[in-house]
Amino acid sequence: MLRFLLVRFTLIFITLAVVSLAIFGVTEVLPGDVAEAILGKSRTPGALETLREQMGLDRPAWQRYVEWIFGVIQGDLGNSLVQDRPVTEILGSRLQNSLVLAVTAFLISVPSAILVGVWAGVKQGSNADHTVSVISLVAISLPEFVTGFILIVVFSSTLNWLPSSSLVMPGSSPLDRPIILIMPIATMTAVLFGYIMRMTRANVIEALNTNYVRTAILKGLPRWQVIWKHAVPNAMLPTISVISINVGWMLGGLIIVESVFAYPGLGLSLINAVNRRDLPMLQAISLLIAATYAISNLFADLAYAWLNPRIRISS
Amino acid sequence: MIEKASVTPPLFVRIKDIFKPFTNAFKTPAGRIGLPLVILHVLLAVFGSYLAPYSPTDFSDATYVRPFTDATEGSIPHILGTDQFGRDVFSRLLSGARSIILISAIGSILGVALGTAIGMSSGYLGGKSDEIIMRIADGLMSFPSLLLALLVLSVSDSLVWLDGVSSVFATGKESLLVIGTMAIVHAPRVARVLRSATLTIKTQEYVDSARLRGESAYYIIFKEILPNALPVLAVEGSVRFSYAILLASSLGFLGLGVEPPSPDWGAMISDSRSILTRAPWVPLAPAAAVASLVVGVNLLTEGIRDAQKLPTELPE
Amino acid sequence: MTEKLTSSYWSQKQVSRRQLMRGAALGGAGLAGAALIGCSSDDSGSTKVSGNKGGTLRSAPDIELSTTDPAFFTSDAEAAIGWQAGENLIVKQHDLTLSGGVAASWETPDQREYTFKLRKGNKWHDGEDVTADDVKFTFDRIFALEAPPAGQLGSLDPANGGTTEVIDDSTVKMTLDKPNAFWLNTLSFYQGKIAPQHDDPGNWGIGKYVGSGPYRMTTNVPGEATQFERNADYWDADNTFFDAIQFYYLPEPETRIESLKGGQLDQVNRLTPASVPEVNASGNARASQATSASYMTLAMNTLIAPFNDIRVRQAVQAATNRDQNLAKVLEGLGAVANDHPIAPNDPHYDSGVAIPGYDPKKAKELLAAAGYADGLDVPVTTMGAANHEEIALTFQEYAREAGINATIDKKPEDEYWSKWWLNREDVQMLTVNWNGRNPDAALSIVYHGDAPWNETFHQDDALDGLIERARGEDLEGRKATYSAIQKHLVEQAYRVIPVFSSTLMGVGNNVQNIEAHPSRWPFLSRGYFAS
Repeated sequence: MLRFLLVRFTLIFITLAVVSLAIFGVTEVLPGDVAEAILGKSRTPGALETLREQMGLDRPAWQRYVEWIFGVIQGDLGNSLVQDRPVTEILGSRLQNSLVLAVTAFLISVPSAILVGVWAGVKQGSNADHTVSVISLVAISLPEFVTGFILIVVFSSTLNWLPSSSLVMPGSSPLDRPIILIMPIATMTAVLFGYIMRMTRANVIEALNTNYVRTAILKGLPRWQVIWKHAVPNAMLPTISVISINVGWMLGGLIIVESVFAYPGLGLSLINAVNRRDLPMLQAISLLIAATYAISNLFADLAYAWLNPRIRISS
Repeated sequence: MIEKASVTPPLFVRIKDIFKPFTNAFKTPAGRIGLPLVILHVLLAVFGSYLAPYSPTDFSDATYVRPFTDATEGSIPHILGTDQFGRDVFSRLLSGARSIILISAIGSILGVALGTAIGMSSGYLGGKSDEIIMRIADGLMSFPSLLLALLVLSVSDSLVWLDGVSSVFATGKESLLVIGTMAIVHAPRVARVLRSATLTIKTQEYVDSARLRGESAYYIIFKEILPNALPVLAVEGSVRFSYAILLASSLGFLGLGVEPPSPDWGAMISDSRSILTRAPWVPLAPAAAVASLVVGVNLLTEGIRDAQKLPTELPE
Repeated sequence: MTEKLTSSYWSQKQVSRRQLMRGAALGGAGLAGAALIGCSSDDSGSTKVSGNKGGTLRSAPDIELSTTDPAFFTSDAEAAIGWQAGENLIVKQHDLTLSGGVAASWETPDQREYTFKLRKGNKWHDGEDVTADDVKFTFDRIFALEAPPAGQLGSLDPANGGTTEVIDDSTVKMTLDKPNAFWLNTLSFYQGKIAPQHDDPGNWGIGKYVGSGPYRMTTNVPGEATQFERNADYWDADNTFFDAIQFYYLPEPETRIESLKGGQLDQVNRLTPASVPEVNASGNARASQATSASYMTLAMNTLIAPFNDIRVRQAVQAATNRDQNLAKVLEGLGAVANDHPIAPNDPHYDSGVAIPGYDPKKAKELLAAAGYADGLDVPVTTMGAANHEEIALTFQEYAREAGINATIDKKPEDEYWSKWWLNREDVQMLTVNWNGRNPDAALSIVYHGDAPWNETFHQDDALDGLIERARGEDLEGRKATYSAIQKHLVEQAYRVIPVFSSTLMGVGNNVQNIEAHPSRWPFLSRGYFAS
C-alpha cells in the first residue's frame, strides 16, 4: 500500500509538471512576441520596452519558466497586468465565491444522484426508470449556458421569482444574498446529477447481474440486504472515479455558469484575463484549475485503491 | 509455409465495417430516435442555407416579431420570429447549423484519429514509451476542455502565421484553432480508451500468430487490432462528437471562435441577453437546436452501446 | 441621389424665446449667446430642493477606469468620479443654463476677457483653501501636458496668446486670443475640474482623488468599486442629501440593467434603447430620457489605406443607412445626423446642407474610382457597450450592398479607450460615441488639427481657420462660418456620423432629482431618496 501511495504521489508531480509546461508553452512560447501579444502594436514605443523589461522577456524561455514555477511554489503568482495588484490578492475572494458554488452543487448532487441511481437501477425497465433516464439524458445534453438561460427565462423573466444575474457587489459575499446562488447551483447540479445518476444506475444494474449477487439472492437473503450490502458497494467503485472526473467537468462548467450569471468567481476572472491578455492571471488561474483536477484525480485513485479489496490486499 | 499477407489498403478496414455500428444502433430503441435526429441535423447543416426563407444577416423592419404569427401580405412568414434587427430567427438557425456541425465533426474526427493512433501504438508497444505517453496524456487530461480552448484562443491574435493557413480554407483562424484544440483535448482521452482496448486485444491468439508470422508492428496494429477495436471506437467517436458540440457552442456563447454577424448558435444566445424579456424566442430557438442535436448524438451513442451490449459508460 | 432627410423628433420641440435669451437651447447644443455680453451672472448655483438626508446611492457606470487625473478623464467612470468629487468653475444645468461652481460670479465685457470671482471659504477635501492659484494651475497644466482638452480650449492656449492670470486669492482673469462666444459653456467640460496646486494630480495614482466637490472619494478599486462620502463642508451642502455614493463596476452592460430592474442598484448611467420598455415595466426603476447632441460615429484612420483616399471615405458615407441606424440601433430614441456634430435644432444648424442618403450604387462607383472595383475589406473595431456593436453591425449589413465587406473586431469594454481608440497603427475604422457639447467645443475637440483627440488624424488648415474664426463672430457671422464648416465636413467625410442619440439613464423609483442630462454625464450629487 505504501509503495502504491509513493508511486501515485510521484506521478502527480509529473502530471503537474506537464500541466505547467503546457500552460507556459501556450501562453509564452507559442505567440512569439509575448509583449506584442499583450499590448498589440502599442502607440507608445516605450510601452513595449517597459513591458519586456517588467516581464524579463529578454531571457530565454526555460529560465522564465523555472522562475515562474519557483514563484508559484512560494506563493507568488505575480501581479495582474490589468489591475496592478498581486494575483493572489485578487483571486482570494474569487476562489471563495467559486468554492461556495462548486461545493454546494457537489454536496447536493452527489448523494441525491447516487440514491436515485440506485433506485433506478433496481427498478430497471419500469416507467419510473424510463422517465428518470430521459430526464437525465436531457440534463447531460444541454450545455450549461442553455440550462442557465432556460432557468433565467422561466424563473426571472416570466415568473419574476429570482434575480436574473448573480452579481455580488464588490466587498460583499454571495452568502449575504443566498437567493442569487439558487440558479447557478441548480445549473451545475443538473449536469452533475445527470452523469452521476446514470453512472450509478448502470453500475448497479451490472452489479445486480453478477454471479456474486445472484448467489446472494439464491441463498435467500432479503432483497434490501442484497442491494445495500452486496450490489451497491461493488457499484460504488467505478462511481468514485466518475465523481472525480466530474470534478474536472465542473471546473470547466464553472467558467460558463459564472459567465451566464455574472457571478464573480474564478471562471469570470479567467474570461476577463483571456479577453484582456492578462498573462499572469491567465497562467495562475489555469494552473489552479488544472492542479485541482489533477489532485482530485489522485484522491479518487486513492479512494478507489482503499475501497477495492483487490488492490488493498495485493500491495 | 505461412505467407505474409498480400498488399492491402493501409487501414485494413472496409467502409461498410465503419457503418456497421451505426446501422446496428438503429435497431435499438435509443438509436431509433437518435440516428434520425443526427441525420436530420446533418442534412440541415448541408442544405440549410438553401432552405432558409431569408438571409441570416439581412435587417428588416419587422422587428420583434413573435413566432408563428401570420405574415404581412406578400411576404414569407417568420416561423420562429425575428430579433431586434428584424433578422429571421429560423434562417439564422439553419445557417448556424453548418458551422457548429462542421467544426465539431472535423475536430472530433481529428481527435479520434490522433487518439486512436497514439493509444493503439502505445498499448501495443508498451514499456517506457507507453509510460511516458500516458503521463503526458494524463497531464493534458487535467485541463477541462474549455480551459485549454481558452488558453489557446487567448494567444490567437499573435499567431500571424495561421492567417495564411486559414485563408486557404476560407475560414477564420479562430475556427482552425478551435478544431486543433478539440483534437488536442480529445486525443488523450481517446488514447486511453483505445490503449485499454489494445491491451485486451493484443493478448488474443490471432495477434500472437501474426507476430509469429513476422508481421510488422504497423500491420498488426492496423490489421489485427484496429478492426477489433472498431466497436469501442464507434462509441468513443460518438461521445467525442457530443462533447465537441458542447465545446463549440460554449465557445460561441463566450464570443470566442466566431465573428459577428455569423449566426453561431451559442453567440445567438449570448447576444440576445439584452432582449431576453422582450423576445425570449430569440435565445430559446438556438437553445432547442443545440439541445436536440446533443440529445440525438447521446441517444445514438446509447444505441451503439446497447447494440454491442457494452456494460458501462464513462463520461470523459 | 441626395435626399433631404428631416427628423420629426427634433422639429417637435419648441424652443422658447425666454430660454434663448438665457443663452440656452434645447437639444444639448447650448450656447452662450448675446445675452451674456456685458452682463454678469450672479450666484445662481442652486435651486432649493427639499429632500430627505441619508442613504447610500448605488450606481453602475461603464467600467473602464484608468486614471483619476481630471485633465485626462476620458471614460464614463472617470468622468463620473469627477462630477461627484470635483467641481468646475462653471456648471451646466439640465436646462442648459450655466451656474457657478468654483466660481461665484463672472464678468466679461467683450467675450475675450473673463474675470471670475471664486467662492470664499471653499475648501479642498484635504482641508486646504481653493484659491485662484489652483485655477491657474489647472489650466496651465492642461496646455503644458498637451492633455486632451487642450483642443477645445484652444482660445486660452498660451501658444496662441491666451493667458490665465491670478489677480488675487479669489480672482482669476482669463484672456483669450480672440473673442469666443462659447467660452463659458466650454468651461463646463468634464475634464475641467479645478485641481489642487499643492497636490499635483500627476502623483495621485489610481486610488486617490482630491477635489472640492460635493462628495469625497474614499476608495477606488478599478474593476470593483469606488466609494464616496458626503462632504459636509461643501458650499452647497444644504442641497446634498446622500450619506454616501457607491460605484460598482459590473462586467456587462446587460447585467447592470438587470441589477437596476431587480432593485440591487439605484442608478445606471447608460441604458440600451432595447431595455427602456423593460426598465419602465420593472416596478423598481424607470428610464430617464433627455434630448442630446451626443452622437455615434464611424471614425476612419486617414493616415493609412484605404481611408487616406477621400473617395473611399465618401463611399463609406454613401454606404451608410442613417434611417436604419436610428430605427435599429436607437429604436427611434435620437435623430438622424449629418456627419458633423451640430445638432438639428441648434441655431447654427444649416438645413441647406444636404444629408447624404443611402446610395450603394454611388458607393460602388466611388470605390471603383479609388481602385476597389472588386470590393473593399474593412475591419471595424468596436466593443460590446454603449451601442457600438449595433452601429458596427448595421454598417456591416448595409455596406455589403455597396461592395464593402466589413468584419467586426470586438474588443473588451474596459480597455477600449486606452488601447484601441486613437490607435493609429492597428485600427482602420472604429466606432466611437461622443457626448453632447456646444458647437465650438464639439468641433475643436476633435476636428482641429492640434486637437489631441483628433481621432481621424487629419490635418486641415482651412478647417482650423474656420473653427477659430467662428469663435469670435456674432450670431450671423457664426451661422455663416458654421455653415461652411458643415459643408466641408460632409464633403471630407473624415468621420461618418449617422445618428445623434438621446441620453438614456436608469433611475430607481425611490430616487428623486437625478435625471438624464443633455451632455449625457451623470449628475448625482443633488439627488435624494424619496422615503
